[in-house]
Amino acid sequence: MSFVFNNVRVDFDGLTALNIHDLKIPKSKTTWIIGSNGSGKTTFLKVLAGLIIPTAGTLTYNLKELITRKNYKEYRQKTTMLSQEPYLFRGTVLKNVMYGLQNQKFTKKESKLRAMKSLEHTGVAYLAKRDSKHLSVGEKKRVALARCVAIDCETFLLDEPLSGLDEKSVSQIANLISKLSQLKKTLIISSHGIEKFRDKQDLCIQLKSGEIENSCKEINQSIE
Amino acid sequence: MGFLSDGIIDALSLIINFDQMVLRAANTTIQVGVIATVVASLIGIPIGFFLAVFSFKGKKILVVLTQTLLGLPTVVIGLIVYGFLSRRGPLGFTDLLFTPTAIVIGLVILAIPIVVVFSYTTIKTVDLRVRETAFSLGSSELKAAWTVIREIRYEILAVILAAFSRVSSEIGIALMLGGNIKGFTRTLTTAIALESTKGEFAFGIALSIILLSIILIANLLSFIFRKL
Repeated sequence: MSFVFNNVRVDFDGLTALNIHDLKIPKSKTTWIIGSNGSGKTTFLKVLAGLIIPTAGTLTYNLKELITRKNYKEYRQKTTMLSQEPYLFRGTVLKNVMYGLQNQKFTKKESKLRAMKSLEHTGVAYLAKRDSKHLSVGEKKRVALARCVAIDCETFLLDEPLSGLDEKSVSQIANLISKLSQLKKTLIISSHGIEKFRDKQDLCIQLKSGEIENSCKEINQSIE
Repeated sequence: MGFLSDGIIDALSLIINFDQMVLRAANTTIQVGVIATVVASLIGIPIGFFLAVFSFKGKKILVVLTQTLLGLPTVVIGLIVYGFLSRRGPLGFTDLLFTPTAIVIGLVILAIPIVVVFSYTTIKTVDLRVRETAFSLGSSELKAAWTVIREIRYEILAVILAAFSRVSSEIGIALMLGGNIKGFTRTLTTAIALESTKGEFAFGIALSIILLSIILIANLLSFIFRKL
């Protein structure tokens, strides 16, 4: 089991943004988090990324409980998150993709090679030398995805990776997601609705007002 | 009007001929200004970062207090430091009063709130996503902090230059703690005050032109960095 939620609650200024009583997310599988705007998808992913520490409850990752801030620091090394509106650091695209690799103590030469490979996988290798501030929304997203994929993490958290992309980019990203899935990575992807290319084996959770409304089975039934 | 134009012409002649008195005052101003700005930045930027990024009890009070210190009159700073450094004061044994070091101490106290408040505001405006992105790419707390500073390096440089402009144009501290000793603690501002009262108008204008040029260069650099 990858993640186990036990009465996890996240409050912002006294308002509950997320309230998950009991949930298990399996390892090496793809899980879709579905919901409309404000349903708590991003908060859900940020909790998993260790960016938001729950107000109450416990979250377990690979049977290790994440409670303290210290725990979260170690844990953050094992996951990576693609934000809905990704931020690219000042500098070239290549330097951005190399950032996470250098955190993993790869040499500069090795980081460069891996970063270029990752940019090729996401179809944006031609942007390598471009200034990160002069990219379109779609390009930014693909570069940010390349930056995430470049790191060899156990878990990938992708917040609406397909929003704002054209058809060609969507199919490229979909291919990449399926490749990661074949590599037995744990993928947790948020989306407004069910994506066309979703594998039938994938799990899904529907969120509404920060709580689980439907599970995978119910969603599949409603589609059929 | 004649004495004004004569003053300006004489001032230009003093500058062109590299008058030793003018150069010494300019040199002292730049030296104490640079040292005070560097020290204040080393103290102020981490405080500004801490206030902007971390939440703790009493943070708002601390921010308001620092903002209030922006309005602290330089003569008050001069008076307090004078009290400490004078022979009867707790630090009288250091014999620092009426030395450039004493001016630097006063200027550091003047510049710290400027650096803290401006760097706090600058870091506050940096997207929260910078830190979150750094964390999600495996950065430690320290590396994430460094990433934030790197992202706003030009804005921070502009803050440092603004602090330098302020300390260079200050007079109360330099006068009270430096004592306006010719060739030793005489800065451009204290020299302007003295020469004007002596009726040396041209000399005063020459010093003013140099002082304004220094501040103008600092502000131009600050403007350029903000645009980068």
